Amino acid sequence: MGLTERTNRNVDLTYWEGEIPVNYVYTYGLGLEAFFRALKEQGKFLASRCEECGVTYLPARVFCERCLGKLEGTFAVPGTGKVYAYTVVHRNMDESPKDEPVILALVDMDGTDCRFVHYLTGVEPGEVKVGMAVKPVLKAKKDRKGGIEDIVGFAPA
Amino acid sequence: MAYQRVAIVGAGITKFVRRAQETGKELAFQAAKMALDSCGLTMKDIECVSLGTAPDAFDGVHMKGEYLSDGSGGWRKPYMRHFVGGGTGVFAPIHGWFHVASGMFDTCLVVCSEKMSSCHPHPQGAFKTIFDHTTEQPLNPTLIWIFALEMNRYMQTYGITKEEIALVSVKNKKNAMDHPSAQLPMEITVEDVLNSEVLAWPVNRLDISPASDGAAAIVLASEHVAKRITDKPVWIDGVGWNLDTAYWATRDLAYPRYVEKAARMAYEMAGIKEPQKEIEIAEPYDPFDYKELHHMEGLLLADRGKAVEMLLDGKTQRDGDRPMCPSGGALGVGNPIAATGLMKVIEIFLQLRGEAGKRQVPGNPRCGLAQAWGDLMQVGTVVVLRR
Amino acid sequence: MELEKFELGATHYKESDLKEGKLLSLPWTPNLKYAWDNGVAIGRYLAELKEGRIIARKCNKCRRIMLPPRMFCELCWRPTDEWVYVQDTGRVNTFSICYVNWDASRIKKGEKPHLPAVIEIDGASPGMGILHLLGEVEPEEIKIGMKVRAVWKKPEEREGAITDILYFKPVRR
Repeated sequence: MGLTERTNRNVDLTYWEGEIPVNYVYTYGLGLEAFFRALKEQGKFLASRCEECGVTYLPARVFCERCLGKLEGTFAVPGTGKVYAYTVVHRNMDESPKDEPVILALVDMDGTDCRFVHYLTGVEPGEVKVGMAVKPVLKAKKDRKGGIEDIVGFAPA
Repeated sequence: MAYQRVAIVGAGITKFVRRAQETGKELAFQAAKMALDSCGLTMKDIECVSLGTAPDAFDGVHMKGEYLSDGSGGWRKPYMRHFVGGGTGVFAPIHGWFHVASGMFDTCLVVCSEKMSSCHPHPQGAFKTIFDHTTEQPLNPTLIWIFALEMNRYMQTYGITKEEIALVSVKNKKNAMDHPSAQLPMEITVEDVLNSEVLAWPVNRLDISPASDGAAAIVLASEHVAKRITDKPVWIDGVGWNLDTAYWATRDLAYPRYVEKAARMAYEMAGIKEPQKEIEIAEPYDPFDYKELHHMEGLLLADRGKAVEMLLDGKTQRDGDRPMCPSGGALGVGNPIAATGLMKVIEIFLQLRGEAGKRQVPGNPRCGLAQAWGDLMQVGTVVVLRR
Repeated sequence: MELEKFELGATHYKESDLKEGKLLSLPWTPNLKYAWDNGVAIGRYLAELKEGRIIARKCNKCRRIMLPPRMFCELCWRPTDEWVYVQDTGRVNTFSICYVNWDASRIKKGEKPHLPAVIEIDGASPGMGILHLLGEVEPEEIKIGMKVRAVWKKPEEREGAITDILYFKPVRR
């Protein structure tokens, strides 16, 4: 019997169902722990800098990815930026249509060499321009949990 | 030999802990940075990176190789991830070895990082899928079954008792008390092992190594570069790896043939004709205590069924004729899947250089071996190191 | 470079640190559901189990009768040749007495331990074992080499799965 054999009887094609039933709890790590605590408690954006390579990282990191140097100390950056690229999303992950389209953007963060991925808010899709200046919109302090959703989105500055 | 000679010139390791705050990237960085510092190199001196890490399912991170690349110095470098289950830790230096031996690169940073603690309810759960999904998973198996089944067969075939096997756990956990990274160093007795909770007879809790987070790294260099970096290079003289059938229930569980084949491959390359005489110190993989004996036989360091005699005679203690797992092994130091094997390679590296601190075995050994094992009891990976 | 001379990385934390909010964390439950195609060999294997029979596959070159059946021989590296029915009896190659579940939780108080075993099936080549469970036997009575027979689900309850065999029990004289 050959390995590649055609069949017309799809009822012969059986399968077995199952799942991988694990779930995850991710710790933030030393870098992101400092970043999200500052965002939650003070609404600040903490960055770190590698003087050797001349690179500023946001969110703060404990090592430079280019030279594997250790980065000590963090400092605040404004959290404002410019739209580097954007897209308008109409479908959910399961392909069902969204009630309202959302704008997802890559934002060049001022004073750093990094970009954030987040929503644009307070603006219509047709009004967005690459290069547009934006500022972060945070949730009220009491609603912040220490996560990326503490930022509601970026709005035109 | 149509290839360059390769040496290990530096090493780095983190503590092995049950739960680390650091992300997998940060753990990789800590080990990699220490490895570079230990031999005075920077990322500018590193030409390529080899990363080993176990299933993405532990960390819950898809494409884990790419995810860990920044912490491993992979930024804008030729970078490759490899994985053979628990065998990864010793496959890592082999993978790094190809890069340098081929003549394509003169230096290679080899990193292994594992963060199993992200997996809930327990990292063991991610192993459910090691069993065949259709013919085995419906029976609700757990990872411990395969070890228990293998241990039972091994005991029965050679008439070895649980009391005798427990001595491995006692030895390794005691050895680990001198290892700075150790997760479970402790002084226990055979009674403690036998009285510990029975998980799946014949396996008790103290027969097993823990789930861990941790990372390790080494720096490899070709001969002419190695001699400029250190006056004590440790040469990778033999490498071997081998895989057995996926139908594990048809294998002879009492003897790991695939470990023998991997060992023979490494011995031939290293010119070793009598392993029992020429290999002075070894780190066989010991996720469970009986495994140290099982692997000693597969590595041809003991005759079949006779490894236990060497254990009972004290030959495998640090001050014995043939020290086995002087580091404390997975049982004592911890078992962050991919990093464990590399921890063992690092131990032999340090022992051959006389830099193993309180764990140093006497007698100035010049030739040692590290071995790891993984998948569904399938893969054997072996490296022979010489000074 | 003794390890003792370096400051080693990895900072330990306790589970309670997460619960008490000392450390931030993000939980996530992925949706990992699968439908694995059985293929020709396992498809037939499961269909025969539904009928209360165990079927294997033979390679005429190495003469092995293989269980679970497969469409190619992994030793000779060629397609296998025939279907062969084997018996539902066998011998215990190895066994264990297990008190933990897949997720490392312990079995409930009063629950009997699980008895996984590798069983060499009669009619298949020597050493051809399959993973299954033992039942109707006290743990102390189990011996390697013991002869066992499959206990099947009632025909109307079978679904075409490995669990159509409930377990293997000792063949008592």
